[in-house]
Amino acid sequence: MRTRAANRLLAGLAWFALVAGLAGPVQAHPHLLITVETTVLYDKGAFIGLRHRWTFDEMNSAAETEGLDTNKDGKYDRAELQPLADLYVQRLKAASYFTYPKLAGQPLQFGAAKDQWVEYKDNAVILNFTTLFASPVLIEAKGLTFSVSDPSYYIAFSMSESPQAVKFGEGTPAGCAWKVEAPESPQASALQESFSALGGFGIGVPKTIAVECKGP
Amino acid sequence: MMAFPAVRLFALVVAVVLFALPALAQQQQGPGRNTFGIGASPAAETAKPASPPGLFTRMSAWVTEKQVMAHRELSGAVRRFRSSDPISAALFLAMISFAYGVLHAVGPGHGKAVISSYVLADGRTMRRGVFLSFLAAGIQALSALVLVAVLMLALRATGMQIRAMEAWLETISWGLVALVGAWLVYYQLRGMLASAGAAPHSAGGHDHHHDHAHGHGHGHHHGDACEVCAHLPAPSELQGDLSWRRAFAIAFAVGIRPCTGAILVLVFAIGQGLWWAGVLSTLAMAVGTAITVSALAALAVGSRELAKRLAGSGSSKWADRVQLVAGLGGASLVLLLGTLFFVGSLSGLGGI
Repeated sequence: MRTRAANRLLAGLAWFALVAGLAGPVQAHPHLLITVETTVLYDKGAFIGLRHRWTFDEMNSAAETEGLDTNKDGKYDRAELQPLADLYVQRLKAASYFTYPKLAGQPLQFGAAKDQWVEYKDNAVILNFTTLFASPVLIEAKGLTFSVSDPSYYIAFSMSESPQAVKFGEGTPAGCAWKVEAPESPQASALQESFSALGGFGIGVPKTIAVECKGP
Repeated sequence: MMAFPAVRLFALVVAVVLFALPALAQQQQGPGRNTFGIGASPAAETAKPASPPGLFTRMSAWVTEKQVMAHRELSGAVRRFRSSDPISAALFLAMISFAYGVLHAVGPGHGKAVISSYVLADGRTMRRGVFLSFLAAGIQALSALVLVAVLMLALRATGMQIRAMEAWLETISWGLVALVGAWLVYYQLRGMLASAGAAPHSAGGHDHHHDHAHGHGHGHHHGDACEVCAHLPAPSELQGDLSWRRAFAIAFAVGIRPCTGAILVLVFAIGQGLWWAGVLSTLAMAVGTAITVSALAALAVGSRELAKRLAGSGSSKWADRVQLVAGLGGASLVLLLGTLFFVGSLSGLGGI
């Protein structure tokens, strides 16, 4: 009798814990939507870093800029928004700018953000900043990739729909091109499918961009 | 009849893992939170999304997708007051806000883990769980309204200052949750000690159940009859000032932290000169939030009762033990969540 009761207890507890656990696993809760455009910077035969252009969603743009029109001219000047830009890059540093560049699968080191500024256009805050690789990557090198994502989904990053979502900096040889890389594992691919089956807002599994140069 | 050890072991492992999940999920508030606006978040570095997309991951994906949709719709729904007639615009905004509330409450930060743990621990009925959820959501809406009204309209604060204040409220909220958790653990332990002192299974030996405020007669006293009364508030429960005080304390502790979505829509609406649209949206959001949290709290209560029934039909001792585990587990979880996120949110405040 006793063991039977014990079994029942365990079964009951397991079920109860299962339900209690249901409260947990859904962790998605984006409060900020950012559309990403990236420029791959080129200098002297190598890629030297990334220039980011992040456009915030309308509600967050309004909340972030509220009260910053200090000269009351009805628009947000670049100087008025500079404190915002400085604050952002300062905080982004701890999150490695949500940017994951890799070379042949190995993470690429990069330095602190610079040249940051914020513009306000079409009711949207646009954050611009540059991150330079610790050492330049020769354009002949194979397997340069990067992605921008927040694994915790507090920020929902999505790649711009524009064909200009990724651009190349001045001087880049014409043979260089970018493409969205296929997901690495079958699992990631399955997850990506389940995302796109839901209507595809471009979120979900972060897109990885692969850069490659052909030619002489 | 011998038990299958493997099955029992598995059940235990499942129980332990899943018990920890609400806490883990809360920890998923990664660096994104620290970066823009609201500062508070545990410093825990989040891993890349787990590779095998299981049921939960897919569920998570679905919810994320819908959350993003609702978020995008929200600002448009506010602006719609300019172009379309007020009644249809109001209905549309209320609908979107409601959906936003339902969806966002599934994610961390709306007290679902705290309230579910609380109703588990305190032997609460479903009705009480639902009531608590609505109370907490109501306080949360009020908190957002007061915060924005005072800071933005009266003090002309910047958006950044408003969100810094939001971060402080979050810290205070977690601190209060931890205090309530400590209080709950104390009651559970006191109940345990009282029961250890009493003669086991003698009819009069169950005083302790009245001490920790679930004296509405669980099955162990009267056998099957009480499976019914467990869901009805007994007079002793309605009279229990102390348990009501605890209930208000937990709702206040959870609700004092405003919902980020409500603040966003309020600031946006005021900027558009449509402040009442912001208020409408905030209230509809609160109803949505309350419904999700209620559902989870009710599930927690229901599963505790089911566990008791499964364990308890043969032996009341086992039902007592389920209650004990639920009580101590739930109370400890409230304390743990509160403490963890209180400390975590302190580190997040540094940057503001």
